[in-house]
Amino acid sequence: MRQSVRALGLTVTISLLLLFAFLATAIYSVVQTSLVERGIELGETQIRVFNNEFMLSIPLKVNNTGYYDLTEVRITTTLTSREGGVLAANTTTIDMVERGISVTAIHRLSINMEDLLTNMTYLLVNDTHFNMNSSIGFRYAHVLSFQITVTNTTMPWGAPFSALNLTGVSHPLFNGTHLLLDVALEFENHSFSDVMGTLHFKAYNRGGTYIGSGEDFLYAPIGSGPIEPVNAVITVDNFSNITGEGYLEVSLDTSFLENPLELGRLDYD
Amino acid sequence: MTEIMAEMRGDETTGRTWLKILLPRILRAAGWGLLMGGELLIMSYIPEVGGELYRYLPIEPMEFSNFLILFIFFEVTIQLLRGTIFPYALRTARALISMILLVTITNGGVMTMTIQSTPETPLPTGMGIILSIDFKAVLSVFLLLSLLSIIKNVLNAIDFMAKTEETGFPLELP
Repeated sequence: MRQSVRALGLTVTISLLLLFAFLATAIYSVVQTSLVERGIELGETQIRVFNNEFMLSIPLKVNNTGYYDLTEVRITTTLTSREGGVLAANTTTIDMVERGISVTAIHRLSINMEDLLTNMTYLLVNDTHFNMNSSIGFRYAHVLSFQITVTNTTMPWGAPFSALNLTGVSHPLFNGTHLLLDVALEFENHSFSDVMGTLHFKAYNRGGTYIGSGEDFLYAPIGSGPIEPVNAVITVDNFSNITGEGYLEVSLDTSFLENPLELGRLDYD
Repeated sequence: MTEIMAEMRGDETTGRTWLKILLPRILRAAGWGLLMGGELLIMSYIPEVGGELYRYLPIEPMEFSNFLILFIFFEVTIQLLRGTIFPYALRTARALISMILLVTITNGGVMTMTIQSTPETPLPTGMGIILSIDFKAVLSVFLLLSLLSIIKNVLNAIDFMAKTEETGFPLELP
């Protein structure tokens, strides 16, 4: 019995020593890899808008210089609105990075502009910010899991028609077939790409009788307002309704809006 | 030792004899107590070292001190009572307590730390960084080994009892 107990004691001691040696090397190695040599690195975030998709790309580079394998390397990002609603979420996983190997993956987060702006029309004209929660996690040596979560990182949102304002209509002119009006429109494109849209006009006389409708094309490069003055060219349906004064109903249509956005009513005389 | 035992078995034990028995035990107990947590306890009371130490430990300074004091107490008692059945019982109790404390302190092997904004590393307002470490597998192995250690101590105690049944119980300390 004494021999068996001694053997058991020796087994426990050796196993404990092995466990501590493994823990020490694993912790040293993970600190060296992730903190000292920056083996797990996030590249520069790129934002682009393509085909009505607002896309955020984050390159994830994992260079395993440690003694053990890195598995289940996972990056998760969740973009939420100011009110807390989830706008988009995605997870990118690298199954395994063996020691001495370097792997790069691109983490993408995309939002459909049509869905976003249809549900939150104010984003079309108001600059704001989104909140981003991101986490990066990995398993080291198959037994130790690490996760770093960064909450409430703010991401600015630049409105494509920031501070849109219709200030007035001037110089109404009827040329026999069309009613021509100069529309004073102010806004600045704060988004990540050039914006295009169509302004729809409906003309009415003072008594509210419909006169006709027209439209004008709108284009604004990044960081500036419309490059050309806006002219409302109204195709008149019923000439007898023209009284020389009335109002215009203006709406904006862009490729990322399901339905045109009503901008309001402008008087002319 | 044999001389002491012979002296003890013979005439009435003198203070000198007891001193000869107890002094090495006390010295050994002090040495082991220092080795098994005493040095950490002393270091933790040095503000320059203790402050830095507690920055990285996920437990309260008071809790950590109590933890160390408990282990030093166990080690000192085990060393003082060598040659009796008590060290086996104490080792078993120590293994059990370490298992419970380890599971409690490490939250079952999943530790979460919130990194606060400091003047050296300021974080934007509202931003938070949470670091989470999951070492349940390692903790399970440690608990398993602790269980084996408990079994070993129980078997040792049985062996000790069987042996003393044959040779007789040692003299009681004053």
